Amino acid sequence: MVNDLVVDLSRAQFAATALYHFLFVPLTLGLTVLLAVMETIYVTTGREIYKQMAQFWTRLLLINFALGVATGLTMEFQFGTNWSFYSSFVGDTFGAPLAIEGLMAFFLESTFIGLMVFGWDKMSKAQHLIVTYAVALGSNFSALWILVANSFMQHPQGAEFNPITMRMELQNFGALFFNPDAQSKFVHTVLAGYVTAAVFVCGISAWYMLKNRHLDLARRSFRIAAVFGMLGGAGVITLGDALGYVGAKVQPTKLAAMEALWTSEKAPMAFNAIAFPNQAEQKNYFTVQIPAMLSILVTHSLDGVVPAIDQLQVEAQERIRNGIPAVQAMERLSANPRDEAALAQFKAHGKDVGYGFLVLRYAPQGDLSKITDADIARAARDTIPNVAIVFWSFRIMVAFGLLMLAYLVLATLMTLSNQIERQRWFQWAAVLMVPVPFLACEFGWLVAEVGRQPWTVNEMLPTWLSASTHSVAYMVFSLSGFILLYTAFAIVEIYLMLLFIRKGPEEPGAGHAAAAGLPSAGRKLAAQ
Amino acid sequence: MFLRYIIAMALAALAILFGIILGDYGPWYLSWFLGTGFMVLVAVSAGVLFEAQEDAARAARDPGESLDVSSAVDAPSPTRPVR
Repeated sequence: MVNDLVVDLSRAQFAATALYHFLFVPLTLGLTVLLAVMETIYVTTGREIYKQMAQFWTRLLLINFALGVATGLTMEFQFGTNWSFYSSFVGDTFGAPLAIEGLMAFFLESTFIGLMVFGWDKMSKAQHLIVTYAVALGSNFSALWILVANSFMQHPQGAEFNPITMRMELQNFGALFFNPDAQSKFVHTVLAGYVTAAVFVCGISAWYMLKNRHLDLARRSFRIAAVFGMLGGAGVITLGDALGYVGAKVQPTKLAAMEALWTSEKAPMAFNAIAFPNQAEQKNYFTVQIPAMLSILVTHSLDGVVPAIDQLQVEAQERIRNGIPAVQAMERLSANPRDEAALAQFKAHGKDVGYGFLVLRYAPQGDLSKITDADIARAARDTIPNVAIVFWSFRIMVAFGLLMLAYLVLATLMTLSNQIERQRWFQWAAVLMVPVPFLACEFGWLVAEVGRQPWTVNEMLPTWLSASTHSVAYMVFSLSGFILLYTAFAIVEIYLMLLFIRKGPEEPGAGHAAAAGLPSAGRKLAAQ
Repeated sequence: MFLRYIIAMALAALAILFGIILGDYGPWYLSWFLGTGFMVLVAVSAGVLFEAQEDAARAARDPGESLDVSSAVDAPSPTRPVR
């Protein structure tokens, strides 16, 4: 049995690396598409300023891309180093989208990004434009496959658990790829990336306007980013609703936690706008509710009922009782894979084997026959994630999302009427908005991943069973090392970003070396 | 020309088939594909509109006056006949 502290440290490390990684990813997702927009205008209008814009924003993309790659690779390694039982359990299924991401999407992106940076003078305008679109497609396809993998964890479909090999074996790749959670999560996440890049570009452009520098670039960049971001903002909210609608069906416990819905109610159900959940007492303090809004938001109907935590806990208890014989059958099969009676018992109870694993931690010496009703009740309580974190993370993310939509609509109106240069207060607001989408993305991932607890694979594999058997000292060393290293990465990224933003765009005609941000000596060498 | 037409129609048929299949199995994936394309086109249009507004402002500007683009937004299009 893995030490609980090791599990918690492993979770903390994965959370830290994922949150750091996702500081860089959304900007790459959106900026690649914005670059494609700018270059499309360059190719269609022939105006050199758009080429200069594309080259300038490419420089910032490169800094961000490098850090995104560096922080992303370690996450994939962590599945093996810190979550070895998880990797063994789902590797047959989980490995496929990760491998496809590496071979198809990442190679597409990273190969064409080199062509994009160094190919300005070596390709025709149309060819270079195709390359830029290829980079945008590659980055979005990377997100697609990673999110297909993550959605398998949220709603495992397309695979069946084999009690003899103790693995989730891939049965239907189509079901894996077209997982409804994957679809809504992918579109929601990439649109969040589009909004992140739009707010970032608007903010930097506004900074230039405030400093009365590079106004040609700034005004045009602001225009494109504001319009693009406004559409993205509307889309991300729409897809957030879709994700919640899907989530209500596939992860009702996560949804109940998101809404701090402790007790069952009749329709139409009220929405808890504000609440202070108490996990131990399973109730909320000081709630501010909006009548009927929960039924409307989650079920799109006034008659819709959302299952509450009390009901879900009762169902969990039933599933735990049903899952215990499945785990017992599995133990017999591990001793004798040809035990027909054990196989039949597993088939009868196998759909709840995950719930059997959940209560296994309370079994004295791992003997499930000694489980008591109190143990089952404890395990049922374990199926509820940390409601306060999930509840407030969701609301902060939504608040930021609505704030960004309001800001981007106003930004669009101002830029379309060419008022933006006169409104210094709005330029300052644009600068201050830059961190908002990054924070919204981080809180969104807290909802997704903390809300999935206590499972690594929803209703199949509990987190406490998934970790590697490292020592506490090893985990403390590893976690500290990652936090220090990634903090250094983040500082380097911010420093380089600020350096190149202060430097501004190169003058027109400086060539591909300038686009790559090489110092003047490098430029001379490149020109030879 | 005829061959190009046949090829273009074949590509259109393939795109429609792709859309139908993807719409059946992965409607949100299709929505991403179409939606991103739409967003790119609208953003490109916004950029092109910016240039049109700049050109109109330059044409409306008297020599020696500073560029005030917002007045060009309200000013009649240079191509519209003056009544």
